[in-house]
Amino acid sequence: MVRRDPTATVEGFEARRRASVFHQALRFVVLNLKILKLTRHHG
Amino acid sequence: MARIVVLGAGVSGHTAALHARRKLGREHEVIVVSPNSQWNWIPSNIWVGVGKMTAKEVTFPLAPVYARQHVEFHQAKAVALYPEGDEHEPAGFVEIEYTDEARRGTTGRLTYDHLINATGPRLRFDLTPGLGPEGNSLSVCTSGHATQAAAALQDAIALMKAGKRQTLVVGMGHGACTCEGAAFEYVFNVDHTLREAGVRDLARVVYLSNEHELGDFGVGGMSFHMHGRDVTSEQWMTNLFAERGIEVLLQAHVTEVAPGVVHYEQIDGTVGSLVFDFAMLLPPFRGVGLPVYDRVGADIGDRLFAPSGFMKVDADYRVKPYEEWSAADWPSTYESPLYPNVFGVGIAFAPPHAISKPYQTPSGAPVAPAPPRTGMPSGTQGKVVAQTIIDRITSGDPTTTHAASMAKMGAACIASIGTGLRKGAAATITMSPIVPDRERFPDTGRDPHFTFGEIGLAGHWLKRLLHTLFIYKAKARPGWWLIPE
Ligand SMILES: Cc1cc2nc3c(=O)[nH]c(=O)nc-3n(C[C@H](O)[C@H](O)[C@H](O)COP(=O)(O)OP(=O)(O)OC[C@H]3O[C@@H](n4cnc5c(N)ncnc54)[C@H](O)[C@@H]3O)c2cc1C
Repeated sequence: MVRRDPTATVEGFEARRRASVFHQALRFVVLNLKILKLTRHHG
Repeated sequence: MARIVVLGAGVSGHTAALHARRKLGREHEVIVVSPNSQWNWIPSNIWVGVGKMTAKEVTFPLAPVYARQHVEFHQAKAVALYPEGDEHEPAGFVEIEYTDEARRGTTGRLTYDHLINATGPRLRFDLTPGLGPEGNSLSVCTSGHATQAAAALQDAIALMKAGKRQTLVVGMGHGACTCEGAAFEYVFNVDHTLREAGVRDLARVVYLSNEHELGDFGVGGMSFHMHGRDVTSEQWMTNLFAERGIEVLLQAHVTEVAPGVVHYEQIDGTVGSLVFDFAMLLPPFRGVGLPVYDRVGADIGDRLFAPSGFMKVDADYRVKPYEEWSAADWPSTYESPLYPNVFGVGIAFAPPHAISKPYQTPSGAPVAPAPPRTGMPSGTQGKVVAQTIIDRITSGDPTTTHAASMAKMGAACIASIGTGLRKGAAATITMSPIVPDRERFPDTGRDPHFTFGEIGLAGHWLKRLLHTLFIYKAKARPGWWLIPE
């Protein structure tokens, strides 16, 4: 089984997944704000 | 005095009823009809299905909430609709059949000034022979189904602990299914649970889907711009599946689920079968599709409902080839073109067409993901229809409408890929609009500022927070209306 699709360009995603708990806490705040903004955006 | 009757107490109907009740004076009645005594936060059924939550943690009784909110609750199902009334009753009414212990089987009539059809999906396990908990596979669509799936997963884990290899298949039980996101979440939660149990090396895990490529999710996939480059949801998901060693079988229509064997056909004509020990396959969704009668008792069901049982609303239902599908085809007010005081929201409304490009097998079976109507758009539709009705009642102007087209609004999907305060993860995906609009956004059909994806522990925390927030909101606790749909 291929462990990774060599064509995938996902370093950004990977980095976020492996980030420290502190970094994840920051991401948590950012994600909340992004989703809140999305709920107020109707095109 | 006006009376609003809401059919269905799921995400869209419950939201509509609570907003209408909050804004209207007590002289107006808000009535909810729903066959289940319990409210279910369906997204968390995924965690029930792997034994990480109990059915009790994702449900609560509706009656006390409605009693506190002064909403009249009938534990019953709608069985027929008379939008023009009949020879004895001048007002539109709905015929209901009670499902509670005390009144089971007895019928009643509820007249209405405004009717909201929020009856959600009819789970059509019967469209694939052998599909479903009464056949040869499992489901996580209800908390009861999910509890059953968790027990079967534990049995499979016990066998693996005894050294026996197991094949676990998760996916879509028909070529026209929707809700691929839920199957995606479940397969990753199964993988996570097997790893936690230390038996992953003894498991073959297969994701079987009607999607044309991974990451399609019934919305034609997505494109994100990150760190100066474009990444597609397909690339992202391909990577994730490969990394977890989950095998993928795409472009498939399941033709039968025999005991321990799933038979399928793919769009390239491949006919195959997969021997399994555990299979969770979602059913195709159709609408509840009630019989409808006009004033003289003639059956007009086909004028109000599409053949799929979904209710026709203000969409453009002309049949067109995929290339001519347009964002403008999608409804925005959810009002019936026949009866302006009747609305269809959430999964109950008939979409004009799919979002993903449809395919079929050489034998003519559809391999065409149906468009998902997830929690955020379903709740928003419930709210805008409630606002329309509130304004019509308070202003007396019958033309007032609020709008929320899926070709304008966004949606967030936080797909769990494993639980745990430190070890959990989720893929957070947002898109806007849900239905791509290539006129406004020629590159990808979506606004790059509101379309993104990321994976990590933060997403899991968010998913867990949403579980608590949405149950709080559904219980109509203080300030519930401040929590967005
Ligand atoms: C396993 C699973 C996981 C999911 N995960 C997510 C997720 O992570 N995020 C997300 O956004 N969405 C998710 N969804 C989708 C989400 O559950 C739906 O978008 C949402 O429930 C749709 O709301 P609704 O009100 O249209 O239907 P429902 O919530 O299904 O409500 C329908 C209601 O109508 C009632 N009813 C049925 N028949 C009748 C009748 N004849 N008369 C009166 N009432 C009737 C039902 O009892 C129910 O109360 C998931 C779905 C599934 C199946």
